[in-house]
Amino acid sequence: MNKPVFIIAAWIALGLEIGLKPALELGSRGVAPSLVLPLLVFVALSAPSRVVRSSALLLGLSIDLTATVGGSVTLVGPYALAFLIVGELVMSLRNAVMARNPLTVGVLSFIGALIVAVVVVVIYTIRSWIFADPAWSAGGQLLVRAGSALYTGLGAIILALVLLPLTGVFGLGADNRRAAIGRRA
Amino acid sequence: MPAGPAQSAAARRALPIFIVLLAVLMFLPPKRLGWVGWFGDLATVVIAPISHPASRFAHWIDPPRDHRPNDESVEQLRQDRDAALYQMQSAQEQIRELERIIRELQGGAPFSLRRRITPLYAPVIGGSSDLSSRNLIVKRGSKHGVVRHTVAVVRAVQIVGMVTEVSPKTCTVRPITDRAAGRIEGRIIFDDDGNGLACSLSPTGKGTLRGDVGAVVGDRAIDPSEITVGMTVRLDDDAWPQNAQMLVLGAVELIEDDPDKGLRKIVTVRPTIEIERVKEVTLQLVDDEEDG
Repeated sequence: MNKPVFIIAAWIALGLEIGLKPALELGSRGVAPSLVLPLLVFVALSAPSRVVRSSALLLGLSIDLTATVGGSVTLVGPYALAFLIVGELVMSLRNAVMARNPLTVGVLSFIGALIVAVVVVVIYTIRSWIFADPAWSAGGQLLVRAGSALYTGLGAIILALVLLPLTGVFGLGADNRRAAIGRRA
Repeated sequence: MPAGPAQSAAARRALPIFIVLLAVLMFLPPKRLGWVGWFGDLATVVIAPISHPASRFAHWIDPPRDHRPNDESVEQLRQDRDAALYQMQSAQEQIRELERIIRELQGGAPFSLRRRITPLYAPVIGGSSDLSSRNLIVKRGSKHGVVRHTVAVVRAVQIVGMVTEVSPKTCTVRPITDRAAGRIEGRIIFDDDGNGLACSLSPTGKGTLRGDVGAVVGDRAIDPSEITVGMTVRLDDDAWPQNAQMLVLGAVELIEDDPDKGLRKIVTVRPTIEIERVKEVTLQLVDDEEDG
């Protein structure tokens, strides 16, 4: 994979995700799409497993570092761990799907966002028990994040229309994919 | 270039160690996570060249909704009036506070209470990447004199929130409507003298504040049934800085009977603007001056 291209794409995706959040938000509960997760799904569909894991950690950590929990605490780990799990899931499914279909990116992004939601909510909930955060509501958060997962999946279909033609620029050609799958097999 | 077998084996060994490290870091107590904030500030600065223009674009295509009646011809006058009312009521509160302190310090020991407020314009460059937080990242930091607990307002009098984290170039403002902001004490204003009813409000997570109406504040006898939709609610909370007192929390949007307490009322208050989506705020920097 072309690492500089991936890092620039991650930088743009994270900046847009944070900057455009107010405009893309649905309702007043904070349902908003992720632009970073579809990038991970796109990479995980083609790249070698080592690259997928390091990309998942990088993207997850970048989300962790720009998020705050309980008002002011920046936490390292929840998103990094969740993104690692999503990366593994996509790698385990990529033999069975059509990687160059935008719908594949959309569906896997939706499933991935649901997994991220569950992992993050579980971790934040355990933290709220340990450190007594009465403002945290696991049920409400799961609902909001389920809505966001659907929104992410729909957005990922559009994003895939931009990303898939750039597969070569990312250094994620079909040969690369076949080699990656072969190595896993 | 494909990784060599030794490199791949090292990466495989490193992954579980990394996961264990993450698991440990995730459950560190907040006071042990201060160093993470430094990396967070760095990440915020790194993505600012993308997030700031994106945020400006987002505000341009979908500006925050104004919850006040819209009439451009009177907007400036209304803002001037609101600012003057705030200054007057804030001054009255300061006089009351000074009178109380003077009574307490009858010996006349020197004290410093006179405060000069310097407004600092600050663009909002983004928010938190996590959905549970409505924090605003603002492009002004300790280099500009911002400190923790600095109050952020919009349109001179509408409270946005309080600064919770400061880095040299940016700071984080926690909006009053964020659930993590907790309870806030307000006063439903009935007249220009500041007479009204106290209310204890909590964020609902839907951009509003909701809570019980309490006792009368001031000289006038007021019945809770006199509360009407649209009444201004101002801050009256000792947990907030003195300069924030009597700033606007919002307007009464809904009045309900408390099902548990008979005649008691519950009010829902909505800020006069969608404060999670403002494109800029004014930070009230406070300079203490020696009295006399």
